Amino acid sequence: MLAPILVLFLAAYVLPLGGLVADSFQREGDFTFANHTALLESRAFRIILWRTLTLSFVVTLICLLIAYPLAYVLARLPSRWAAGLLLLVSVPYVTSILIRSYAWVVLLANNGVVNKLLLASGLVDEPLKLAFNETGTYIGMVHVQLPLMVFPLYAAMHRIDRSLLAAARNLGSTAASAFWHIFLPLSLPGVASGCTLVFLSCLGFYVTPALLGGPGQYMLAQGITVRVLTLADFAGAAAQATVLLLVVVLLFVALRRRFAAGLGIESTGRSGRTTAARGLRAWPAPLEAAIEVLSGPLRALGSMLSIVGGPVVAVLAVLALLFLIVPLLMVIPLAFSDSPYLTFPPPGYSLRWFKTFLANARWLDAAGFSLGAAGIGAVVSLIVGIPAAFAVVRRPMMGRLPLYLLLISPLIVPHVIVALAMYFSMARVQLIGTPLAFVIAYALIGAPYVFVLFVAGLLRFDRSLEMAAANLGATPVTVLRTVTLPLLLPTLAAALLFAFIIGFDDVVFGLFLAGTNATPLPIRMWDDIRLEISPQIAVVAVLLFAALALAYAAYLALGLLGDRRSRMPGGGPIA
Amino acid sequence: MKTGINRRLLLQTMTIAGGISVSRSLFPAPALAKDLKGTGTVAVYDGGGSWGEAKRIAYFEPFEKETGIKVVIVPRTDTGAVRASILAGAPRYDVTILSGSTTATFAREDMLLPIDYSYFETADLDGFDPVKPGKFSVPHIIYSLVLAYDGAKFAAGGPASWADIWDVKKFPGPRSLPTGTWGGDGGTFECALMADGVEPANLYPLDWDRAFKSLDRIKPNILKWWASGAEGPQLIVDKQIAAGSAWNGRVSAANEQGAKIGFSWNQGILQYDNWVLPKGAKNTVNAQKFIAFASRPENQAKFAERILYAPPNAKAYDFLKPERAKLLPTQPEARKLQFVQDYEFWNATRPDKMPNNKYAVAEWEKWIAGAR
Repeated sequence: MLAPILVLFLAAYVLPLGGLVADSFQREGDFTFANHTALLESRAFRIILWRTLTLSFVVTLICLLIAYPLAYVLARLPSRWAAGLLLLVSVPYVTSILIRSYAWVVLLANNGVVNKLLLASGLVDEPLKLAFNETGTYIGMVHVQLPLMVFPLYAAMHRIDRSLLAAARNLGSTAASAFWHIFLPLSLPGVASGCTLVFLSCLGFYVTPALLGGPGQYMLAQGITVRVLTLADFAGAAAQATVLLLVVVLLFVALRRRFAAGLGIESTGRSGRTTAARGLRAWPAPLEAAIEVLSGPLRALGSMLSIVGGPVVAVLAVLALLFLIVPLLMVIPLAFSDSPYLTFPPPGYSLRWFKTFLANARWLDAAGFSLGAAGIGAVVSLIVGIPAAFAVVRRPMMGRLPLYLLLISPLIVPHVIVALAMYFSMARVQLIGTPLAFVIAYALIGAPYVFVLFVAGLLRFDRSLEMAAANLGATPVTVLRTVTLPLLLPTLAAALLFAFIIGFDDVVFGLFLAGTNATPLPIRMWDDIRLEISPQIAVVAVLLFAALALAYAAYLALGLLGDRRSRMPGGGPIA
Repeated sequence: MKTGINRRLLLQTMTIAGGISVSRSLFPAPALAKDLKGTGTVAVYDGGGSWGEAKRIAYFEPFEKETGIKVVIVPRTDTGAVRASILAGAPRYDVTILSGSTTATFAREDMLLPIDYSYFETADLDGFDPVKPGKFSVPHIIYSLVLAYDGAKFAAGGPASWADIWDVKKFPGPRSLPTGTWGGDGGTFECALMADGVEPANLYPLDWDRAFKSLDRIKPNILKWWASGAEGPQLIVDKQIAAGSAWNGRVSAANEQGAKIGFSWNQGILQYDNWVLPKGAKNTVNAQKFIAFASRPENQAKFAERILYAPPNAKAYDFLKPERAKLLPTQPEARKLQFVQDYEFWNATRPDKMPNNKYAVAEWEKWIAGAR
């Protein structure tokens, strides 16, 4: 059951990455450490690496502060509501990074919406500098990464046994104290995996800092991209990518337990209570001592907070949701602008940019290509991902954790590294610029989503239903057809959706793999955004939103259908 | 168009009558009345946006009509990816475009095919000015990196030199210049030196230290280092910056749509892009024919009617209306205020074997990180 995914990973991921690392040891045909020592001796590289690490750290912290109240509120809502809101949270994550960054420029620029509102309200006399500096980078990156923090937090909080809190209250603890001593420690696995996910994926960021960052900001991924795309210094790029990869792998290995726990694999067979017991011991001793010292003032603060706490947290959660969604809505009026520029609000409204889109065969061709390649890629990732999830969850075997980590690692390893690696190996077999190259790339980046979602789905799955069917005489195939698959239908829909969108939105692989017969839509957009900044891209955004809304509606319908059949609460695939 | 054809015939007749043309010695003697007819396809770099649109109308569609060869439009790829695809033996294009600052580096690394001038009319070749076709490349467009400013803000008279762009007391407001990771293509290093008082004639070889010192002075006023041709004008239209640099074609296109961007030809940097044939491409004969077709003055005039990049074949001016011609960067009045960027310098290698176009990026990275 593991063979298909292993073949895909070996051919399109492990071997190419290995080749890339090997390339970084080459200079004019000889084996050498020269590329690496040159890097480490370069003060500029050390500064850039340090900046990348600190920026990722700060973004992670901000994400945690914003996501925690949101996840807290979501976890207390009925599952069905939470599932719907989590889908909303996922919208920015699955929206093209180009559109997101573009939306932020519209909002944050000197004469952007935010500054216009601030000036009109008289709060400020001069426009605030919100874009093209550190602030812009932070806002843009937090927006992009927030969903990655919310999901693991929600998953951890959702599992917390609320009766523990009630028990604490009954024993005389204040709400704040119960939160501090019980809820917070129990949510730590979610905090850890959320922080790890966000931090690692920040390291490889390229588009957002490039579009929203200030004049002095330069991140590692930009260095790699400039090396590959402008300088064609492939050994240098490989060396930088190797260093970044090393940082990622080290962090990944160091945090593997937390990672696996947050994503559900270690909780297999363990009751919530054991997890709870582990959680209760989670504070390290010095921190516990500090809490003791501070407990008096903290308790006073706590009782104060518990009066206003509820509403404040709810308001924070709503604000976080608005922060995720509103910037994307700003793009919609721009699509109906009659101006050649991106002026907000548009001076007048028309359908001219929709007309030019529909009249342009290249846009339509690209859209068609993207639909096809991402669709086939998603189906392939289902075909390889689902059996792998079954194998990992249901078959006791050696090396389950390393395998799990390998299969989810494409979520973490910066795409620019994978794309570069894939580029070199595909060039050798003349695959560059072919639709097949895209199907392989999209299948590779889609498969981890399918895998993760199915692992989660199978862990929630009540196997006694299958056994009952088998006891009543159903063949294994009948069990699969009549019990297993219908129960997993919502998961299947979510997996298909995610795998499809991840491919459909990709820019990075497109930059490397595009060619005569293969030009995906985001590359057309990227081309246009670099050369002309017009409302054209907003039209593409609106069409994508519409497609996404349809897909979500279909998914929700399927989820409800699955619910009715299975009588299982909620349809939340991500939880 | 009719007059165009007549003029063309006339030119041909004159060349034949005149016997020897100046460039005869440089290029193989061409046969007469070039028949470019063929079959199959040719994959050509497009570039997207209005640039791609101008190519489609001036080159792609007429070429298909005249020759029967189908043009397959391929979008932009960065030079690194072009190089990688040639190295891999599977270039993405049959014909592509390289900036002048990298063409010779590609040729030196044996990545380009020589141009077959037997498909060209002598008259077409003679017209190229101020940049002549080379062994591996034929100029595609000439454009100018000019100083640009908010015309509404500085209605009484805007910056007129790079020193003025650097002078935020005289012309207050944020600035934007191209990112130095573009090497020579952004012209930022030349601008910095001119702002520091270096005459265009004395720019090369560039004094890197002096350039970065000059950049140190403007850096606090830079809102953003622009990284795409559209960004400069857009930042001015949005009133995000007061002044900076931009490509003349972008500025004029924005002004045609109602923007009020001021600019000056003074100290403008004339740059050019070349048509080239990547080694290993499949449809080389069709590619040669395409480049010959795109070098004809009447086609280049049609191109310049759509977008304000100058035709490298100066004979195209014969086919352009005077009011259009005067907007182009190589028209005589503009020409004398500007200079052609020294691509020989940009492609030359340093003692450590690193070409200047790479050295500039490496030094820029150090500078921007604060480590220079």
